[in-house]
Amino acid sequence: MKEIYIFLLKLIIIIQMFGALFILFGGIKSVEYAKLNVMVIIPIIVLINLLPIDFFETSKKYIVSKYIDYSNDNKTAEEIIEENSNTFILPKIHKIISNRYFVDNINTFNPVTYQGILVLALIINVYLLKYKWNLIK
Amino acid sequence: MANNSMFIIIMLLHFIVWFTVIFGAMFSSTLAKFNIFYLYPATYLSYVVFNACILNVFESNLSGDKEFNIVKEKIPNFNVSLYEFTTGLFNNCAQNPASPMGMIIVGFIVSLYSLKYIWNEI
Repeated sequence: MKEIYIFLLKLIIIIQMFGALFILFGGIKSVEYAKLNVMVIIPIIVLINLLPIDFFETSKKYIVSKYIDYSNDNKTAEEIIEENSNTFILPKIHKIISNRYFVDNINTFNPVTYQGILVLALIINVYLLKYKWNLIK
Repeated sequence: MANNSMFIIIMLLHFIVWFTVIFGAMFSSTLAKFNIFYLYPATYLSYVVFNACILNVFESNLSGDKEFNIVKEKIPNFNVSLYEFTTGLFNNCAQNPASPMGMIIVGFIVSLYSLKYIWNEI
């Protein structure tokens, strides 16, 4: 049973990773993806982020809470999530960049938070729309 | 005395920049494009490079002399009050849209939708 939960946890990490890659670089593939990213997907993500819970983080914690054995395991839920994330290269790079911006528990100007990645994705996609797809004059 | 004037100028400039970031696109298509292609990327880059808001740093560093501090009490930084009020409204959200990065995203979306539906340029 534990293996299924670990698989689900890794699946969520992979979905999150590919979701971020799609909104960042999907616009290179076609003009429709670039338009979809800036006009639909990113505004929807912003609206979802207005909810009081973070969907991905809550799901990860829920899955870990299902299999964690507090009597034998000394690790916290966060540590288990981090351990599983570190099996992939991109979350590792993400963590290295994040740590550089984590000063005095203030993380406002981190370029790779949810919001930082959304801004970066918007910048990449609008520049692609202008210079690659010539959609904005 | 120069510090006082400088503080007021930077405070007003900071307010105008954020007003332009969010609502500028509604006034003209040129401003919308300026926001999208220059202002937002420049703001994002300044955050990434300096890990701080430059105008905020100027505002804080100007509190050098005693006379300035007396004036500062009389003229509070309304940008800070406005920021605390707007972030307070969205305190329970997973990601606060009134944070500096959040406001750039909101501005981006407003500008893109203005370009599409008000100015018909996309």
